[in-house]
Amino acid sequence: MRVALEGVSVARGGRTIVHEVSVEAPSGSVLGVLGTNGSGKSTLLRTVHRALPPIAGRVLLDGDDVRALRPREVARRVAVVAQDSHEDFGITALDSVLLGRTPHHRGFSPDTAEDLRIAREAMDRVGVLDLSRRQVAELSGGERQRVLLARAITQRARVLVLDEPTNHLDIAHRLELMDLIGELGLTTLIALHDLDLALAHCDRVALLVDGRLERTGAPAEVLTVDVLRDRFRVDADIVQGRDRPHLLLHGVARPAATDPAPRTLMEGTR
Amino acid sequence: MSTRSPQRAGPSAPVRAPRRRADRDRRGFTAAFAVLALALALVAVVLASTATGAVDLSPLDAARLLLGHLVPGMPWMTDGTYTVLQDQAVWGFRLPRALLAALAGASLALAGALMQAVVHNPLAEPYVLGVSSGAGVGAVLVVVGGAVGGLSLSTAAFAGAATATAAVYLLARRNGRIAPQRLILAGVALGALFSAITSYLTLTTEAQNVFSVMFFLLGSVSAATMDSLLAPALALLVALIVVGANVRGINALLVGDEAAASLGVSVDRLRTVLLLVSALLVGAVVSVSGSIGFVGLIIPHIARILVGTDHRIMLPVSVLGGAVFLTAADLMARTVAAPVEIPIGILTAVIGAPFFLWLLRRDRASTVGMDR
Repeated sequence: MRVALEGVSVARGGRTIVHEVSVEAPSGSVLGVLGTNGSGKSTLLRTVHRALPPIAGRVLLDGDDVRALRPREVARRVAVVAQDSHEDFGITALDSVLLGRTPHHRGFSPDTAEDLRIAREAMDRVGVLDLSRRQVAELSGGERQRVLLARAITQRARVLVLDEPTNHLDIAHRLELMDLIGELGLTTLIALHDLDLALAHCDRVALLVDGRLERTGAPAEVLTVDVLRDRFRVDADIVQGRDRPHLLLHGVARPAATDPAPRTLMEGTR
Repeated sequence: MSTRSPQRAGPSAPVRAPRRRADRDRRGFTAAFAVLALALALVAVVLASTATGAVDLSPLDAARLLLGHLVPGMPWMTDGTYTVLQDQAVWGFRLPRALLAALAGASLALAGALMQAVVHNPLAEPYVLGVSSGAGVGAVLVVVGGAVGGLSLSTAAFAGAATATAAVYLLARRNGRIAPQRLILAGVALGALFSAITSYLTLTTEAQNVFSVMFFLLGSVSAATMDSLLAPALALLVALIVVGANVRGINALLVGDEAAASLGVSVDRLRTVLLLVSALLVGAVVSVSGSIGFVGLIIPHIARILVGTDHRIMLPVSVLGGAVFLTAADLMARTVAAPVEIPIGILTAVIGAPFFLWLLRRDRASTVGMDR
């Protein structure tokens, strides 16, 4: 399923946060949405699953404007792994994952054997099958994150929206998550802070700066040493690894010319 | 993710799946058993209630009298087996009373469970929207001032409940959205305001009125007639249909409003619908039986401890459990100190609180998040 954002602007609390962003993810591709804190990544992604309405522009799923689709239809097409999770009354991991079947059923009906099979398969795939009976609230951050991912897979949507899914995950789980996203073959929109992962796993990336689309293209084209210094404030090199380029971080980039003169201790105490 | 590695994928998936399935089936079995047991318990306690009182009868006699009214042509209704007094006690007084207790218990437990899900708060209960204090003001106005504009006490109470609900709803709504936190706080604040009015009116009225006011505020099903059952029964029926159609959405609310929305649930619409349903349930009950406390708060929690958080199981258990609990409480209310009748609201707390506290301490309670 092809996802296209056309001139999308979003406002929150009367302030425009995203300005006229146009970007598209062809069917089955992985689009990384990059940018510093507050650059509008999450806000932009939330228009894709209709959590926020754009004040201008539109979001198309295979040509259909999401705002013209019923909520249930959007949920059948787009699954979401959000940044934070919430749970009342000690819901178990399996029950939480089974909620992914919600858009596929109506009314008062029990979960079918098929629902259970899909949910267990998803939990097995992300390595949380053992946690089925545990309360989500008692799980570690990384385990919770994977339960959310299992729910999204259980939803069986063709589009996957992930907002910082690698938060809380250890390094091996991060890499496994990115591999899994590749294997799922869904149209994926993913907000990422880990630029090295973006470099390796995204087909295309979109760089947001202050809510505006700065650049879009293949990760290696967008993530240059200059962009890293000017837009992410890091001093980095792109080096060739065993099989692909990697990001080598040296530290925070300091704008050379505008460094203030060092102040003396005496000045500080006055 | 880890199970995709070859050495682990083999043993983990096929071996574990059957055990997990068994776990799930056992829970389904527990739920079916709980519903069946509660349904039988409800029949038993209603029957016990119709048989108990000053005019003594065995449960079998009571059952025969009830059957005689429901099925025409039963011989014992016409051959002088039972006196008019016995018949009147069972059919005219005790049955409506037991049924009203059952309806009130079921409605309050359902409303409580819905409120807890809607506002994401375990302390929520049917009266959190200020419904009972609104009804209280309506009732007290009638008791103190006589029939206000020709309104009966129950009509005035219902009007008070409706006014309070509408006010809380409008106060909590902003930009077409109802925020749970604002809803609770608006309800609490408005409840305090209404309670103050009730207290003032109670204290400034003549002494003989105070008892009537107290009786309403503590709740009672003693004034039940078959006619008074109609409104709460209809309200409960409507509520069950609406809730049944939306139960998957209610489950999705457990993982938060935003996640529920991403699962295709129209959260704001669902919240409004459920608030209206709760208000209807509570308003219909409060107008005939006063504000019976505690049932709506604890029964949903007990149901969760027993059968888990899935509303498809937990709501039927709550509804039946509330009905059984309140019918039993009413039976005790009119027998423990007979001929003096104890307000049912006192009984619900006296029986309910220790039982709930005991359950709260058990390991099972921690499986529904009570250790947090």
